[in-house]
Amino acid sequence: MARKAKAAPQGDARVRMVRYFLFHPAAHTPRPLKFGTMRMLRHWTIHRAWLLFKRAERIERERELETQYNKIRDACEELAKTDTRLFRNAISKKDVGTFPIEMRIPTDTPPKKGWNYGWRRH
Amino acid sequence: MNAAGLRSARQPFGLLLKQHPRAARTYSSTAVATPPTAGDGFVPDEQSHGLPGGIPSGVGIRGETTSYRLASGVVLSRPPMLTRSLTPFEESYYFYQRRLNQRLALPFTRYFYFKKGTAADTERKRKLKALVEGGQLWTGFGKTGWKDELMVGDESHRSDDNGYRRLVESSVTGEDGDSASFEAPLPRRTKADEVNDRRSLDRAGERTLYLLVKSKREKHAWRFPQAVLQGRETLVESAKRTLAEAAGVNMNTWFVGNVPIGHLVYEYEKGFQGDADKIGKKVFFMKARIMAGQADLKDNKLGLEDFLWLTKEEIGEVVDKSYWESVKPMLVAH
Repeated sequence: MARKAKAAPQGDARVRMVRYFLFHPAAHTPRPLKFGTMRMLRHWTIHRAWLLFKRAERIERERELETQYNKIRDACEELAKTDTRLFRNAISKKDVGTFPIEMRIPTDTPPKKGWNYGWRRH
Repeated sequence: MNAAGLRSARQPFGLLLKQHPRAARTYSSTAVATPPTAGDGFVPDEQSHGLPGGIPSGVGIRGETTSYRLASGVVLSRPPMLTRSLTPFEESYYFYQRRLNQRLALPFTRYFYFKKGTAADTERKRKLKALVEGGQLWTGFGKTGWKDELMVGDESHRSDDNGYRRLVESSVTGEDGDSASFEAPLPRRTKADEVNDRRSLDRAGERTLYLLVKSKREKHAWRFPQAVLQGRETLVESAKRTLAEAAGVNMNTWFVGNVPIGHLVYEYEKGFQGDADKIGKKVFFMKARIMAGQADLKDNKLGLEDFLWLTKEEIGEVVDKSYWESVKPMLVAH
């Protein structure tokens, strides 16, 4: 080992740098987290609170979806009782169309030009 | 031989359908094999339909004409433009987790990115020093690495500008002067939010907005756009026509599927003479999304005088109570 280290560095300096920072020496590896009793207790409490929070969020979302689904089902039943042709058209998978590419996903800040009010069909 | 016999005995499904038109209808347990005959006792209201000889759309499964007028409504929504803002608890939790991650991560390999003694390295050192002196820097290394938690009441992890100022102060640009190349992000509250312009689509970016229109009358004035079904059109076709008649064609919209997302049945008030042979209306709501454009009530055919883009709670304040109870479950909370 020592003999190797003494040898003059070989190859491209950039490659050597990449190698050095990819394979960190032991002194650079992160220390394991060591928590004291009270800190561990705090950590556990925070974790439990987070799980509870996510659970409440999930239940709320599921309830909302369930309400919406029930509303759709009721509407379909009413439609089937009222008009078979309309019902048949409603549940058919024909002509459902494709997903529009103009749809934008939510961003952290609003678009620079704001909403596109000037859109014209023709 | 047997197999051949079976094959020949079997009829194609299409043939079966032709011979027994009602045999394959299994979509409702209440279906009774009485042929739906159009026109028995049903006189299409030609004035309201505007289609002479139009086929009535109110024929039920049992072949009776329903005594309700069918209509389609459009729930046109603008989906959220902005990501949801975090609750204080979420904000704190993510900060806590980020600090833990910093304690476990490898240190920044500065001389891999900045060659020693270069101008960029000097700039990096200068900006780092300013951060340390301003008390804005915490690293998971060194003697204070364990102190990753904030004290109660310390709000230093919050930022009113989404971390923009800190980014400007700490980023190494390689330029001499002030970092004018950084573009400040737009505020999440827009001008429409400040003046509460409820006809604007730039308002309430985190929420879904719904289009509501106002008819010229005292009661039940605010509603989703709705119109009576005409001829043999389907619910979606009718909804598309309704939207065009109510708010013009200059909106880029997308109708989500063919299935109604809700319905509303109501009976006409006593003394209402507008629809002689019907006792009420059944409205089926179709879901649609707007991507561009704006509602325009000029020359609309439904006699509307105003429109608003409202969030779910705001709809509850504007519409009639009975209407609100039946449309509320269709709408999303955010």
